[in-house]
Amino acid sequence: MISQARRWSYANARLRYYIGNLAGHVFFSELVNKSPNDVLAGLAATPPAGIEWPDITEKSDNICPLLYRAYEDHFLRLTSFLPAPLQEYVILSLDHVVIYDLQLLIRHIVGKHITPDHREVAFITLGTPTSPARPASTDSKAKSTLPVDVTGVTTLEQLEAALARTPFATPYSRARKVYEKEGDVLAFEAALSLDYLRRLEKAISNIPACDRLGLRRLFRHRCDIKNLGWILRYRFNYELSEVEIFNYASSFGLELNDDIVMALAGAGTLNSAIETIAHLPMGRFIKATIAAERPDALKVIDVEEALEQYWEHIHRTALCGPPFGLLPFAAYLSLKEREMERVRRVITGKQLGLDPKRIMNGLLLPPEAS
Amino acid sequence: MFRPAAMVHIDILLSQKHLLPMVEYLGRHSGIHLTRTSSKVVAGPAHSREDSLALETYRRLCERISKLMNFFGITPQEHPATDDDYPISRDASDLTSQIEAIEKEVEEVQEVSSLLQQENERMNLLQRQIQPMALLDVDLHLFGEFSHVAKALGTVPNEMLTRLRRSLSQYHAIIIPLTKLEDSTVIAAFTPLRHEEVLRQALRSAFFHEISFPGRLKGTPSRVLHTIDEIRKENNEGLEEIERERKQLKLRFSRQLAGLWRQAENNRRTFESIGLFLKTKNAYLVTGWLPASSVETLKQQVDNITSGQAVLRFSEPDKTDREVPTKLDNPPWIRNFELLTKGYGIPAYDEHDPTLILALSSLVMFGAMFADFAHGLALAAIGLLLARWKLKQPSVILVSAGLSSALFGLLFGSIFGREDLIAPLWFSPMHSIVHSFKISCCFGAALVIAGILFNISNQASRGKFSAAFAGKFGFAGLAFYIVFLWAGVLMITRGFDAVGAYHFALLAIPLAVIGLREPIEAVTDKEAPVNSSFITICFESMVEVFETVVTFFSNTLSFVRIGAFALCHAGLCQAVYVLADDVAGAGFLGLIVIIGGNTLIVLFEGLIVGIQTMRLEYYEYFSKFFQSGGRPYVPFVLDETTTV
Repeated sequence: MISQARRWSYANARLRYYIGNLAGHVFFSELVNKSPNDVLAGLAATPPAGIEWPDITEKSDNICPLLYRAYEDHFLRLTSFLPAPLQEYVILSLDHVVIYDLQLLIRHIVGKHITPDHREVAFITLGTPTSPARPASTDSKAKSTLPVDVTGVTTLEQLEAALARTPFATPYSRARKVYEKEGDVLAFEAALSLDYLRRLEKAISNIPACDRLGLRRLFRHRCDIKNLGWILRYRFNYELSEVEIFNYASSFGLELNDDIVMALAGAGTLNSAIETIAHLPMGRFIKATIAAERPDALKVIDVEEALEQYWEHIHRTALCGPPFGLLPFAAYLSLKEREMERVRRVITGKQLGLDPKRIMNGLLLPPEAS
Repeated sequence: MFRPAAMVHIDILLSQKHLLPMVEYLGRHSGIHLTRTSSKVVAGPAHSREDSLALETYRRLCERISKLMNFFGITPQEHPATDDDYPISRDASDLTSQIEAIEKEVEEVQEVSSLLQQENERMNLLQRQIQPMALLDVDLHLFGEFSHVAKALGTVPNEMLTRLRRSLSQYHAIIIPLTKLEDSTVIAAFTPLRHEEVLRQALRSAFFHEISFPGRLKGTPSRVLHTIDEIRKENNEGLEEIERERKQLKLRFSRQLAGLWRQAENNRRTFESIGLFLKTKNAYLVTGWLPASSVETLKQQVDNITSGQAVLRFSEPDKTDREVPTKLDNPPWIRNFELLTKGYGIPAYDEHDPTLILALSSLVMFGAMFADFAHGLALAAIGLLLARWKLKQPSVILVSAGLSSALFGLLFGSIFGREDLIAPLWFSPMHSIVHSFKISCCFGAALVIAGILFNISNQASRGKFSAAFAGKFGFAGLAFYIVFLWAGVLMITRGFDAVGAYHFALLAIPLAVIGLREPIEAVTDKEAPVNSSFITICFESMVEVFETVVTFFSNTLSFVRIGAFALCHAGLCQAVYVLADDVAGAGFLGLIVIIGGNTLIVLFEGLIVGIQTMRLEYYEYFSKFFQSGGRPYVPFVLDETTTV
């Protein structure tokens, strides 16, 4: 305990400062009420805590990459003192946006909506013509970006060659075989996502025991949330069969075991699916969150929004756990990513000329403490 | 020999029409070290559009030719350069068409080879998948003919197997794992026919990959495996045929390709070098460094090429300018030892070149430490082997070291480790241990003094007179060291009483000068002392003096290891013979021990002695004066076979 306190106390003190300064209601309500021209200036003048605000202008077509890199720099500075296995975990946990970008790229290639400069694809990390992909990095502080440049890739074959020496090569190759035989695009999404979760689970296994338990629990909560979102989407949006849904779900969940996953996969309606998990903490939270919705008007997107809030809830709960370890950092990273997403929504909403109230509702902020 | 070659800075202003012939001459004959032209002159971009296009074209042509040469396994060095390799031109069309013609002929061969190799890989994979089923006496194609059962045979990722089973648990499915591969498992899956669609969906979502058999693969697994072997054999025969064709193509195109590569490479280097020059619309400014001995020749050639229309300007470099490249100027044999000098660093332009003394002293030290006539010749023979592998410099060094060892073997009377076969021409270290130590120290003192003399010369030529006079390795240090040695010799030969008060006075005076170096530096070099506090100066002076005494003492004693290793060599050899006699006895086993022991001594002790030699050179000799930091002289050449 004493050695843990010695190792983590300074870093934790810094962390608590940033936790206390996570952007909340006050920050965002001021922001959304600014005029569209003043939002970026406002953010540049008073950025969220810990963030060196990048040079984003109204004409920027690469808001996401710039924003993401600013947040990523903050994460890596905050965790730069960590030993190798923990650093590896932090970097890997940021890689989910790379998976997102890859899936986006694949969808565009498969849908034949792609040009060599990828101008039409709104990447977060892979870069656009004005903000090209980061070069491959092999040093110990490698950033969480795709380790190869995929600009110019317009076919699945080219993408397979580009990914050849990356961790994505194997799942991509398997999914491509399935796609070419059966035309199943979801195979790519599922393969990449499931492989990512497996690698994350393996990275947790390499972490010292004192940090492992809490992180594993948090990870399994995340898997539950992802699983539920996927299952509902596959079931009600894509109408996949039970066996497909079951295989495309992760086995790392905490609350959603195999039987519950099977039951959800075979649910007749969205409401019956929610009832299936009503006895679980996640289910109770979702029911309470969507209570205002009419049962016959309930949509998958409503449940996904509730899941976003549950995500935030479990991470805020994790902040209350043991302070001297990686767990509060892992929880903070997720909450800070939520903050980044909210900032992006505000910027995008203002660019689209949406009503401030609508933008504010879309941020899904947690209830204010009374 | 003791100084790098004198260099001259050169500027050539010439018109565009003379550029390419000029660059061709510079790359073939001049030995100029090109530099990027200073940006003080306002000019356009580094490359004109035509030159950029030409550069890009030739780069791509080089890549294409390299691919062809890799395919044939040839290198340009296999065919000597000719004058046809040099037409420098922005127009690469002729070169391109020649390469295209060769690529066309090669394309088919490459394609067939690739197809056959892919087929072999596929057969290897099928074999691994089917091998575990070898004992099954069932026709594999019958597997596809079940009429009441839905079935599948293929691979599933290992991590999906349990999930797949669980997903099909309600459908009376049977999943049989047949063999586990690196990251997947070969399975056979069955369900009742009414659940065929479910099976297909489950397998798809588990990333199942069906094993498909080419038409020829029929019958039981053992029959299929046999057919796979036959297919592989056919493919291998095809590959051998392709290889024969490739060799014939190689004979046809080898020389042509070498020539094309040289042409493309020369043009590429030319257009790359043009990027260093400043340019205006019609003129180019070429800058670089040239050995002073080549200046007149260059002047004449520039006049010839440009018909007197170019403007040349030469200037002597500032000796302390670190931008001047260093070209070491040694006789041919000594030149091989520049490898060892450069192992420490490139001498600065204004420094002495230590290579000659390094070469001679290292051979003496190595020879003395590894003194054996036969071992030396063995080492020389190994050095000759290196020459066969085109390692010229290491070969010369090793042969020289070997011959030195052989010579010292005769001087010390050692052959194959035996000291009773021949009489020493000088003395035997084993029988005159103290004598060998004394001689080692004397040699070391001479080397140290040589280093100090070099330092005095270097510092004086740089205008650092305080370092030259009052420095630890300056005149004061030299004086102290000589008196130190004199006193030391007196003490050893005549006892402590022989050293009188005046010896101590003669030691103290130079030490005092060394201690007062900083104030001297302030006067002579007009540099303000870094620390002006009196106490700090006193303290630093005391440390400097103490360090001087310790350094010279330890530097001298360090050379005792020469004698020690000479003894060690003799002792090791004796041990081998004792072992051969006492343990192995006379006869064949004893002979094995002797041969093995001698081999071990030549290889391992040779290595250790080599390391010790370099340690003495670098630490006791180089450290007195060598600052390195020089820029290597890299002449611009278009062809690696160019003699400049």
